[in-house]
Amino acid sequence: MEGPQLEKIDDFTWRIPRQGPMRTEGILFANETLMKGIRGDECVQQVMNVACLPGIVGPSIAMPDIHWGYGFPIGGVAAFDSREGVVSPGGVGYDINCGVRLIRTHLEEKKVRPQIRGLIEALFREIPAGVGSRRHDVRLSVEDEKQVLSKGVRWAVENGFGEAQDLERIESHGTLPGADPSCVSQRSLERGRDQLGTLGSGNHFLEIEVVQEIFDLNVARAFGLFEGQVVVHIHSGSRGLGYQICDDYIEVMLKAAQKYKIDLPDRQLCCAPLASQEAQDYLAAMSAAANYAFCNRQLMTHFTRRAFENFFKASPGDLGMEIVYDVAHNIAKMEDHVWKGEKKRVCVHRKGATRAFPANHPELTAQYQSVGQPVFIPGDMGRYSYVLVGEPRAMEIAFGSCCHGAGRVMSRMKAKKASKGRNIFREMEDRGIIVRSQSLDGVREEISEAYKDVADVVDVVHHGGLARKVAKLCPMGVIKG
Amino acid sequence: MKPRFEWLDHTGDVGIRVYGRDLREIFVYATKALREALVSGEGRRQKKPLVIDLCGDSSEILLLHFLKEILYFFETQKGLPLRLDIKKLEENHIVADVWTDLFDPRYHVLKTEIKAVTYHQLSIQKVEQGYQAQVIFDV
Repeated sequence: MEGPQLEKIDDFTWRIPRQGPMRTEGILFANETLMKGIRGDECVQQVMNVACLPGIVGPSIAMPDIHWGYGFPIGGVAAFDSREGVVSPGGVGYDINCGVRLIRTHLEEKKVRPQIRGLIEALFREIPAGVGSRRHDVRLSVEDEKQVLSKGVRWAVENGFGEAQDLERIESHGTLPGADPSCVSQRSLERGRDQLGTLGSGNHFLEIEVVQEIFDLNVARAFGLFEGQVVVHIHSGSRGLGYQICDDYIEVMLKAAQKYKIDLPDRQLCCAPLASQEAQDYLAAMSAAANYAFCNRQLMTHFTRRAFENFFKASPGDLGMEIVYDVAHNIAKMEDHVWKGEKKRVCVHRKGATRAFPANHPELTAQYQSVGQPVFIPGDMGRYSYVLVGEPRAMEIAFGSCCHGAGRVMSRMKAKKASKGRNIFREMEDRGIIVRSQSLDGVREEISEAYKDVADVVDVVHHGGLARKVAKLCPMGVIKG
Repeated sequence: MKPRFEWLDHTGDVGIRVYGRDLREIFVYATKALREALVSGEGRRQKKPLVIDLCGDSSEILLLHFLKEILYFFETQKGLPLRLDIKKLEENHIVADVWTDLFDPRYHVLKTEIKAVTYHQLSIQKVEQGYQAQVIFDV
């Protein structure tokens, strides 16, 4: 298919010139290899559609892991002026604050690898995974759930699911201000009540990984990472609560777009002016879902620590299971940025994109001030993931953002066809990776070849100056949703 | 005869294309497709029917809201749609009893977590032999 014309700016950056109703240009970060899959794909049109929305500041941005989403592409970043711009639930996605957390340990590969199967089984018992997974030991009262929505990880720490220092190592300290449970529907509350501390399904995972390679020793030290170290990587979000909030507010925003006479190239781009009541209500509900998601990953951290302590019969001090960081990759946040020399308050939508603030950013916790924010880019379950650190150029050209993962290249249907007749569990085991899942279909949909090689994606943000490579992680054990 | 629904290939998600001689069949087969996306197998215990009385600005939006109700019922009550008893169906109004079986891991295999029924490329079109609808689920 012939797509719109793309102009090459440099080896890692492409421009979609402003045309038709676009209010700004599109900027796409990719190399020649990735461009082969992107050119002619519908996601390019989606980048252009986002550029049509009112109050957009700077370009409509696409990361190298871009793929077709609803309205906004997955792997899209767009900032909107706080006075003239809009907020769109489609620019965040259904899984609000889907994100990634990395936990380091004092353990080394040689101790863990011989016992990996037992460890994965222990974790599988502690952390419910799969479609509609629920916890029976943490069923929240209505009041508790509202506290989770308001306080985020602070609620977890107050209730024995973590330590005070955990808060320092989570984006926004695990609590977005402005969360208001009264803006969250009964349906959302009901869907979230017994899902806190569960992994969910799809591409969500909990992995035991080993630090295989260090690229930047100084930063790795600051993150507490060393070669041969065992780490735990968790990818999950706000579960049914977040899906329902997005769903509810898409209905609100469809009406709002009509009311405020906003032309929509696609219904899923529905939005409202940031100054409107509809937008403020959405941001309050979205923040509540974000707090739930931070708290969800916190509870899984708690149960992971417990599983490790029991399995290795070791104290928390011996295991040293501290959070490296926790970052959202589906979120909209009010942030201060400088664009073309002018300081602006903007609502940055990151849908399948990670915040990547550089050193000395005021929002960073003290211990990362001198190096920058940790960024985690998971790959597929059979290959590797990366730890990066935010770079100053991310602030200059991408509102402090970078990519979020490998990005699918194969539909779930195609992946299932491609894996028919194959024993994926055995194939993974042959590569030294133990996989555990509730669902055979779920594992087949997640085969390595269903994804781009995350190394290609990471190379683009590394050479493009958005985030710098720090370490490469390889999976030993995987729990899939 | 053409199958009454087919799966659509969508990079991140699951889509269905549904064929029906009339709107009633579109709702019946779209419900069947949603069930097949969620689970395989059939339970032994039936729940009281989910009573649906919904309005929408158009038939496609009505279908979207209808499927959302069924998904929500599954998410919160574990009821899976088994049979539809449509009492009234107009372009923008449906009244139906949805007979369901209760999800039971002994009889059902969960397949996909559907986060939402989306507006993305949502359509119902009149075609030569009746109607054709398309719905994309976020998974």
